[in-house]
Amino acid sequence: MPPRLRPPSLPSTSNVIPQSFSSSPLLPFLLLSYHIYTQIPTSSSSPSSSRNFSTSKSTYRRVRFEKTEGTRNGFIDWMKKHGGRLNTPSPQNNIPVYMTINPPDLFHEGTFKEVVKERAPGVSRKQALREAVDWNEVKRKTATTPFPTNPTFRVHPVISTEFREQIYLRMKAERSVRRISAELNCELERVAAVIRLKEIENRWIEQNRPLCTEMQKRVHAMMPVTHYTNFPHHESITDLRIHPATNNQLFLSVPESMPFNRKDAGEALGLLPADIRMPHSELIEVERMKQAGVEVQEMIKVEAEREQKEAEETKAKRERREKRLGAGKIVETERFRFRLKPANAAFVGYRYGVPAEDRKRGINKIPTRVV
Amino acid sequence: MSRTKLFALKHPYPRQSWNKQAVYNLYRYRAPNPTSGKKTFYQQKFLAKQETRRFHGEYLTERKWNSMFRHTLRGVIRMNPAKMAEDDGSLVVSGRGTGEDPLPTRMLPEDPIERKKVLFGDKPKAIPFVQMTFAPLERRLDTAVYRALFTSSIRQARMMCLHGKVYVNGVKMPHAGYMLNPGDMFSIDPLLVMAAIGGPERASFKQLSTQAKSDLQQAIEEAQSKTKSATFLKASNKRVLAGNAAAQVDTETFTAAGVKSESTESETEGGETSEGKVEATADGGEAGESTEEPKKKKFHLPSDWRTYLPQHPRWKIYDEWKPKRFMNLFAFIPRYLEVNHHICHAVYLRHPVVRSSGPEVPNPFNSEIMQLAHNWYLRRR
Repeated sequence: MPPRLRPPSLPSTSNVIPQSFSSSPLLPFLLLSYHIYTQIPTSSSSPSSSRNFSTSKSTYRRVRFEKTEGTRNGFIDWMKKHGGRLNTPSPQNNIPVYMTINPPDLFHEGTFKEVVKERAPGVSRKQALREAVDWNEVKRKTATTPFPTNPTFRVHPVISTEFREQIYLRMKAERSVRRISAELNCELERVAAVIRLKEIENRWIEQNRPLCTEMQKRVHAMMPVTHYTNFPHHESITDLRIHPATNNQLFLSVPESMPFNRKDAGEALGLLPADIRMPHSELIEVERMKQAGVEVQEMIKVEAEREQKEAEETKAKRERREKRLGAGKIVETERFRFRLKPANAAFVGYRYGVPAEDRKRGINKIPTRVV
Repeated sequence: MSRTKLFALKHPYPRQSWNKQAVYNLYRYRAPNPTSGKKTFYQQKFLAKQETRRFHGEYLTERKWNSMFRHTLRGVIRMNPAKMAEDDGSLVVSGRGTGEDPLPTRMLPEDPIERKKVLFGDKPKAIPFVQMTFAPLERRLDTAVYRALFTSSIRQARMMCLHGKVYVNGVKMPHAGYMLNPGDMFSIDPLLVMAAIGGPERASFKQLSTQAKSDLQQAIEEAQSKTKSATFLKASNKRVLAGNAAAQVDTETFTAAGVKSESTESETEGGETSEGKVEATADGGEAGESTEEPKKKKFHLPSDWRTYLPQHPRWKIYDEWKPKRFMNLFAFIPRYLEVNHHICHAVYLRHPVVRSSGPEVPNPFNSEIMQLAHNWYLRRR
C-alpha cells in the first residue's frame, strides 16, 4: 500500500481575521469575506446549552452548500465591491491585472498578528502593517500568477507585433529559421510559426481584408509582452526534452580508470547524446571556439560554412522527397487528388488495401491529422 | 450526467470561463485540503480527483478522459551550451560517482546548512511534474481555441467547433475533440472572435454585419442586372460597389483597420466612378423588382465579399473593439501556442511541457492536490 499522507498538524491561519482589523486599509487583501470554508465556532466562544465533550481541536471544515451572506450568495455585493477592481480592461505598461485574493506571503516575516504586536512605540497599527508588506513583491507575484492558489503556474510573456515583424524581416533577408531563432532567442517552432502567420497576414492585407489591429493591441496590453530590443531574450532555446527512457534507474558497471561522459551515458540508455538531441546543438561548437580563443572573423566563416552545408542537405532532402512523391501519376478531379502508384496485382487484398472499418461501432471517426 | 447549472452560486465550483459568476466562484474558491481530517488514502485521491475534474474537462465523461490520460509527463531541462562546451559530462560522475567535492572535507564549513550550500549549491529546482496531469486535454481543439483567447470559455469554443467555425490547416474541423498535432494551424473568423471575447455591444455589431451583407447583395444584384455577368463580379464592378451609396454612410469617422492606404485609394475610385454609382442606385428600384420574381437560385455572396465594402460602417467594429468583462483576469497565452490576433490564426507549436520554472498547463490547483489526482488515474488504487 502506498504511504498514507499525514494531515498537517495545524490548518493555515490565512482565514482567521482578528476583529480589530476591520478598519484596516489592507482589508480587501486581508479579509476574505466570500470564502466557501467556514470555521466551526468553538464551544467556548458561544455560550450554548449543549456541552461539547470533544477534546480535539476544532478544524476547518468545508461547508459546501452553505449560503453566503447577501443577495444571491453575496454575488451582488461582490460585484459592487470587488468586481470593478478586478475588471481592468486597459492595464498600464503591460502589467497584467490578474486575480488577487489574500496573497499568502503578504509580509516579509511573520504573520500580521506578530507585526502588530512587535511594532515600535508611536507607530500606528495601520502604518506598521503597511510598512511590513513588501508591496513590490506582492505586485511582482500577482503580475505573473493568474491563479493565486497555484504559485507554480506562472505566465510567460508573448512576443510583440514589432518582434514578429523583425522575425519576418530577417526571413525576407534570407536568413535561416535556425539562425533567426538563435539571434532573437526564440524557439525554433515559434519562429517558423510566426513566419507562417505573418505570410497569411500579408495576404490578407493584399486582399484588402481588414485586420483586427485594435483587438491585438488591447489583448497585448493585458498581458506581459517581450518587446524587441537589439539583443532580445524571449525564452530559452536550448530546452532538452526529458526522454522517458531516462526516468528509470539503470545500473551499469564502468571501469574506474575510464572517463564516463554524456556520450557513454546516451549509449547505455540507447539514446543519442544530449549534445545532439538538444535544439541548437551548433551553439556548443560556437562556445567551444569562443573558449579556444578563435577570432570572430574565423568563427563567422565557420558558421557560414556550416549553414551552407545544412541548407544544401535540406535542399537535397526535399528534392528526394518530391521525386519520391512525384513518381506516380497524379490525377486531379473536383473532389479528389488521385496519386496513382504502380501496384502488384498478384497480391489480392493488398491491392484493395485494408478493409474499411469506419462503419463499425466504437471506431473513432475523428481524424487524427489534417495535412 | 453533467451538471446543467455550471456557474451556480449556491453550489459553486471553479470553471474555465470568463462568466462573471464563474469569476466570483473562482474568487471565493479555496481548494480543500484533501489530507485534512481522518481520510483514507483512497478518499484523499478521490476528493482530489473530484475537485480537479470539475475544472478540467468537466464536459467530458470520465471514460473519455481516462482514455486520454497518459502517465508519462513531458518535461524539459534547460541546457547551457557554454557549460556543455567546457566539459563532456565526465565531471558529474567523477570521484566516487557523484562528482568531486569542490573543497576537501577539512576546508568545508562546520555548519551543516552552510556545508550543504557549498556542496549542493547550484542544484536545479524540482520540476513540478504533477501539474501536467491534465496536459492531454490541452491537445484538444476546443481547449486550444480557448487558450488562444479566441473564445471566452471552453464550452463556447466547443460550440464553435461543432458549428463548423473552426478551421485546422484551412480545413473545416467540426470535431471539438480533434487532437492537435505539433505544427497545426487553427483559425476562426475574426468577426466571431471579436464577438466572443468582445464587450457588450455585440447585438449592434451583428446588425451592422447583416446590414452590410444585405447592402452588398443588393448592390451586386443591381450590377448583375446591368452587366449580366453570371455569378461573380469583374474588377471594374468592384470599384462601383466600393462607392456604393449604402456603403458610404460614415466615410469621415472611420477607415477599415489595417488597410488605410487601400481605403483612401478606394475613396478616389469612388469619386471617379460616382456617375456609375448614381446610375446603379437609380436602376436599383427596377432591378430589385426584377430579381424578386425568379426565385430559382439561392443567392450566394462571393467568398471575398469582405473586400467589396471598404467603407461600410460595419468596419467600425474593428476599430472600436472592447474586451469582455474580466478578460484581463484570464489574459495569458501559454508558451506552446503562437497566436496572431490580427487574423485570428494560431499555431500549436508542440505539446505542453513542464520545466523547473513551472508548468505550461494553466491550473489553479496546488501540487499536493494534483499529486493525489494523478495517483487516482494511475489505475492502481
